[in-house]
This record gives sequence, structure tokens and C-alpha cells, in this order.
Amino acid sequence: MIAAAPRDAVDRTVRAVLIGVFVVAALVAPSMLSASNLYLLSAGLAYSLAVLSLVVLVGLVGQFSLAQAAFMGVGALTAGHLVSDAHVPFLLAVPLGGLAAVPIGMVAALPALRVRGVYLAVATLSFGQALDTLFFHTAVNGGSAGGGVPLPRPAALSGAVGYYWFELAVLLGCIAFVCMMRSRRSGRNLAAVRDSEAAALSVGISVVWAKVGAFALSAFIAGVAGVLYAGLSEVASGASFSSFDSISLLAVGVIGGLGSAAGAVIAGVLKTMAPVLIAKLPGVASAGELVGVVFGAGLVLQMMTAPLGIASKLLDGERALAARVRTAVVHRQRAAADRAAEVPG
Amino acid sequence: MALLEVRDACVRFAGLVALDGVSLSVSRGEIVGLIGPNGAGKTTLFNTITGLQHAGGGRVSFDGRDVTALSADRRARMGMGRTFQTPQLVARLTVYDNILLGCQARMRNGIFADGLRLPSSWRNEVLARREVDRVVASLGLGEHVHRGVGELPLGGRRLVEIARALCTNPRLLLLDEAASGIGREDAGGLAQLFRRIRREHDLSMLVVEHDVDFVLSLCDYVYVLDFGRVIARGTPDVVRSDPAVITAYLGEEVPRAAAG
Repeated sequence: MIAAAPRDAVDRTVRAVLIGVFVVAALVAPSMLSASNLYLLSAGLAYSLAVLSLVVLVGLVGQFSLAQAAFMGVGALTAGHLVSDAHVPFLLAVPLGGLAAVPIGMVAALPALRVRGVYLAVATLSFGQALDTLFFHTAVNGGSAGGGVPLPRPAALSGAVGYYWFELAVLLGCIAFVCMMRSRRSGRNLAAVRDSEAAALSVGISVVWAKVGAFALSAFIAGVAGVLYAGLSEVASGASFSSFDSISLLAVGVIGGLGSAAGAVIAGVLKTMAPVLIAKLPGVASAGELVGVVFGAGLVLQMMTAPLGIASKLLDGERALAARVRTAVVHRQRAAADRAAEVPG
Repeated sequence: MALLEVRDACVRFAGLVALDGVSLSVSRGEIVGLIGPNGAGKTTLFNTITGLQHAGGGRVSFDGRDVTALSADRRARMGMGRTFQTPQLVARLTVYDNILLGCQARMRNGIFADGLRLPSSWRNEVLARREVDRVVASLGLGEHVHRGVGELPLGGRRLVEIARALCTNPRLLLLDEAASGIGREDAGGLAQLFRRIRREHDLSMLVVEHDVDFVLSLCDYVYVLDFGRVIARGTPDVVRSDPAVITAYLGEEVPRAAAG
């Protein structure tokens, strides 16, 4: 969705139909899944949101970050304290958790103003690791045993299906925000900074503020994702948001495709659901250890056939579909014009 | 006072002297040319003026203000527009959106307003599009605006860069080899276009070109750069007959002293 914006009515119709199919599938999923698989899918949606925060950085402005899990942790722990200590309503604690991660994200952006690529990855990794070590396991945050901070859900969201729908709504809202931002001034600024900093500077775009702004938005989304993830188990625990989780988010993000929101959704869901799906394959179900092997083989295959992520293949398919529809429309119009020409007068 | 004043600009790259005390000025409404053989330091001087290259010494003033310490984006917002020798366009955006980039430093809507499509986002977008439509019509880019920039030939991409720069409302437009990639037979039309741009947008120009005849026919004043120094300056007629210029360009006829 970020790689190529719809250009005409056919593109928009095809896009709307595909989004409709996705939403319907997402809505019927809870009734098709067992309780444990619904839990995994709900966790997947929280990870989808976390990968969306990476899409903002990697896809839109071309910056890497391995601090995303730390942003999630800041959001989750903040929300936990707000709800259990300050008795702030859960629904308010979700955006506040995201906001708490924003200044952290802006600090994490500082290395991005000087270095890029692998150096930036290492700098943000260290930043996330520092947060993890210094704050996530203090006594007030549940201690080193990983006890965590309680994050009880309100009665309206206490059910597994209700919470899944809540997560879905937040995810779709954030995707809409990112896509709408992308095609306006801020999004074009980010694209300019990504493709040519010299060009951005030459028209007066502040590269510094574009990067800091992108990190701020990314941290907000990641913070909200952290709250959603912690809300699922009703405990915000720093142990869920280690540097290893940041790395694994980037890995699944690459698999799903960091150029588009669709890639983020695919990545997050795959992260939790892939083992379940693989276990359903004939012959694999009986041998649990085969799951990892099949998953690894699938990854290698995917990197060979779709190096830009699964979503890029989907978007190719969408374009092909739109092209077929367009041809069909042209044929029908031509046929109608021919018929009209045959009628005299 | 001149619009742009460069005093003793010096730039060194790892021991190589790219600019060696270059001074230059552009007055309001003037088209000033900058010529010189390959590696003379023309693009380095452009980058020093616009702030992409940090000057090791010397001073750049724009509109009476010392801008030597200001960042490139600040200088652009003060009214320095430029194009690049290798066009720097955003491949993922259409021609139209690339030109829109020129309006964006003036727009105030941020990520929050854009993501929620607040009224300020719509208002700024409409104003910016109006401006782009005007520049697109003025440069005759109309039929290309919804194509990807990669589909355009080099000359077209240069025109898109000029349009983008014009959208920043520059008072000084710096054009880096805008005529290359455009056929020699079209050079006359391009000179006419530049003069029209100067008139309609009320700006001054500093033009780097390889094509000496093009520069001498277009410009009010010309500087000739070689080995990072100004070796000649003056009106086109003066420069045309300057022995140092003839030496620099036709080195095979007159032995060059201390070349190296």
C-alpha cells in the first residue's frame, strides 16, 4: 500500500475490494479459530502494529531501528502503571502509552542524524538494550524475575473476541493514519529524505526534522503496539520486549515486506501463526521438531522468490488484477460503442 | 548590494584543492554564467553556495546576510533554489508530486495533521497544487505530470527539477548544467525559457554550463573557473577574447603554464 498508490478508478476499486476481503476475513477469523489460536492471532495483530512502526522508518524514510521492542516496552509499562497505580481508564492508557514512547523515539533518532545503515542499526540496538537493562527489570517494573506490572482490561474488552476486535480497530486506524500521512506533505518529505537528502535540502526540507518526526511517529505506534500486546495477557512485563524481540520484528518485517502496510499485517500474523499453520501440514503435525525446519526452509524459499517481502508479490498480483479489469472495461466500452454505431440515426 | 556575494571561498578534499579563494557576486535580476573545464570546481562552488558543501574558508552572503554557517535547507528557505548536474528526483513519486516538493517548506501541516487529514492539511494541499499547476503550465510540462519521473528523458527530468526549484519561490536560481541532455538545436529555446523565467519570477540566476557558446549568449556576466580559481571574469564579449580563457579551453594551441 505504500509502494504504489492507486492511480485511477480501477486501481481504487480493486484496492477497495481487496481491503474488504481482508476485513471480512479478519472479522470471521475469531469464529473459525480455537481459543488458543485466537490468542496467538491477537498477539499477531499487536506484532503487526509493531511492524507497521518499522514500515514508517524503513519504508517511508529509509532508516533502520532495532529499538522497536524497547518502544513497545515503554508503552506497555507506562500503560501498566497508569492503569494499576493511577487508575487511568485502559482506553486512555493505550494512546498515553504510545505518547510516552515518543520522546524516547526522538532521542533514538539522534544517531540517525549522523550515521546510516548498519551503524544506525547497531546504535539503535544499543539504545534499546540500555533501556531494557536500566529500566525494564527494576523493582517498580516487576523486578528481574519478570513479574511485570498488571494491566487489567476493562469489562467491555475482557472477552478474547472483544479484545481481538479492539486490536483490529486500532491496527486499521493506525494503517489509515500512515497511508493518509504518506500521500500528503509529511509523507512526501519522508520520501524525499529517503531517496535524496540533497534534493530535500535544496527545496528547504529539514532532513533533521523529517527523521525525528518519523522516529516519533514510529515510537508512538510501537508504544501502542506494546500496550496492546501487554493487554492480551493483562501483564506488562519488560521480559517481552528485549533486544532479541526487536531483531525478530525486523526479521519478520523483511519477510512480510517493510515497504507497505500490507507487509506489516502479514509479518505480524506470520510471527505468531506460522508455527500453527506449519504444524497443520500433513506429516509435520506428528513431529513437532519439524516445524522449525519447515519454517526455516520457507524463509529461504521466500527470500529467493520474493526478496522484497510477501507483500510485494501481493501488490504485483493486485496490479495484474487491476490491469485485467481495465482491459475488460475497455472491451466492454468498445463493444457498447460498436452497438451504438450500428443503430442508424 | 549584490544578492549573492562569495568572498575567498576555499574547499579542500583530502589535500586536493577544489576551490582556492573564489570570489563571485550576482546582482538582482542578473543572469551570471560560470564556465570552466571539467574538474574546475564549478559544482563544488555551487555546493558551497547552497550549503551542501562546508566551506573551509571564506564567506557566503545572501541578501545582505552572512549565511556561511547556515544549513542547506535554511538557505533554500531564504530563497536559494537549485538544480543538480545529475537530477535528484524522488523515483517513487510522480512528476507532479516531485514538483510539489518545492512548495513543502512553506507548508506548515505536520505528520499529525496529515495523518488525520485535518483542515490545515487540505488547505495547504490545495494552495500548493495551485502553485504547481501554474509552474507546470508555464514550463509546458502538462502532459507529463502524472508519469513516473523515471519515464522521462534526461532533458525532461532537468525541467522537472527547474519546476521544483521555481515552486520554492527562489530569488536566486542556481542551474547546474541545465542545458546538457537537451539537444544543441534546442539550446536557443532554452535560453529564451531562462530569460522568461527570470522575468516572470523576478529572480537572478547563476548558471553552470559546459556549452560555452550557450553561456556567452545567455548571460549578462561570466566567470571562468579553472583549477579552483577565477581565471577570467567580465561581460561575454570580454571573456570571449580573454587570452586566459582561450588557453584554458584550447590548451592544445597555447601551451599551458604550470599545468598540474
